[in-house]
Amino acid sequence: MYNYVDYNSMKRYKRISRLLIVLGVIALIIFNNSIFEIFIGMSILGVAGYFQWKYEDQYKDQILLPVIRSIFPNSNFEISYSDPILTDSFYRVGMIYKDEKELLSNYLTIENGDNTLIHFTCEEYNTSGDSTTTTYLGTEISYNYSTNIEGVVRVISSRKSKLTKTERTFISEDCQLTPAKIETGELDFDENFEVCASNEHLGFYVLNSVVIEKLKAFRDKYGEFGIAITCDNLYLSFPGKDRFIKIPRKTSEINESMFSHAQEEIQILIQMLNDIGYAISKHSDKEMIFKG
Amino acid sequence: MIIGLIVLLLILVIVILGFIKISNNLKRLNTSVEQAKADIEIYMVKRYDVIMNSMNVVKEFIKHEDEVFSKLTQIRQGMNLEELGLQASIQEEAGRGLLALGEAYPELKSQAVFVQLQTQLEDQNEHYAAAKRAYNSNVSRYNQTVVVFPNSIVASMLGFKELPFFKDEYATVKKDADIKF
Repeated sequence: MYNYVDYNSMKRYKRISRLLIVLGVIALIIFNNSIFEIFIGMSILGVAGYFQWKYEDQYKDQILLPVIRSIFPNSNFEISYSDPILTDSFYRVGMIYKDEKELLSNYLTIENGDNTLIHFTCEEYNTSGDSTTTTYLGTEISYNYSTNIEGVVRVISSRKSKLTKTERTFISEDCQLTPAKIETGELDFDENFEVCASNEHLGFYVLNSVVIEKLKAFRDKYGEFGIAITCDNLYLSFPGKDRFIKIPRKTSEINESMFSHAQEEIQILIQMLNDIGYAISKHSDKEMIFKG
Repeated sequence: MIIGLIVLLLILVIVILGFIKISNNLKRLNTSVEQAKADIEIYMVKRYDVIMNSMNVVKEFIKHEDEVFSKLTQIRQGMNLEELGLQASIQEEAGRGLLALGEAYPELKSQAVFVQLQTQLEDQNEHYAAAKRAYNSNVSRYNQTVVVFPNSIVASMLGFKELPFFKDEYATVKKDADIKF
């Protein structure tokens, strides 16, 4: 599978990088009497960083992405550690919250047509504003499904009052599109879920008994989650790191079974989302996406 | 003496504020129940319209036309729950009969207009069911508020009583909505 990978070049970058890091550190320890010597030490470390970056770049482009693409041939992958997350649609339906001191960035984006899976981090700036602390890791999914409803229904599988401060990124406290709070009358559901909708009737229309059962089953499988149902999309939010697919950081961590397992997990998720969408819209089942 | 008077005044203020708060809450809940009842009426009117349109399409296949039309009546504003429940049951039976006609007559099922009306009817059934659930949920919340102390005192002073849930089973009780196509 990895025949076309230039292993020698990668190994070279890795070795050079390690060697330069050692040299740079030694230089800084021994020759720190003048600015010039410190400058040399720092320069060596800088060059080491460059080779490390080249190594990571090659690892990502020549090993990781081909493996993932061979298992998910219909999807586009973007692995990045600095891109700002594309959150407009998620914000609009109240799926993500961040305050002014926080920064969201996605480190994995999988796209398949109109469907997207994003792993992201939320970092909070410290008081001086020059460093950040990761406060939250989560997954956002936008799944294209035509429910034909007029408005938005938001269901959170946990009472918001129970969420800790850091978990609040998981779901927005308020959403202008969903001002009406719904109590379905089903005690078990109402105790464990919080429902907001554009209007009361829409909430009850969407949450028929079949949908309620599907959402309960979804919660049993995935634990805490938020879902916003719109006319043409299901938006989901999950707390926690690397849900459904984990991207290995080293060559030694890569194995095919982890990606095929991820594919199975994503297929199960899609099937469950199809069931929910179908129960709302009564449409015929959609074809599987993300499928190899 | 003055302290006692101040304490008494404070208690009075608290009681009045509490009374106003409970009263406003009861009024708000009562309004949401009325709003939910109005929604039931709206969706029953829509379902009635779909059924009547369907009747026009399938009238040549209906055997007991007069009986069907005589049982179905236009939903009026201000109907009580029993009247609405009875009409809901009749609509339900009529709707089921219409859908059954599609199964009985394949030529009818192949007509695009019938299929479209069938879909509309199923959708209106869903809307009606949602409106019914919303009403009963609001009544449940209202009733729970009315019966607990000290709300019960304020409720009885202002004439708020427990409300009945909406049921559409009157037809089977009264046995006068037996519609056959």
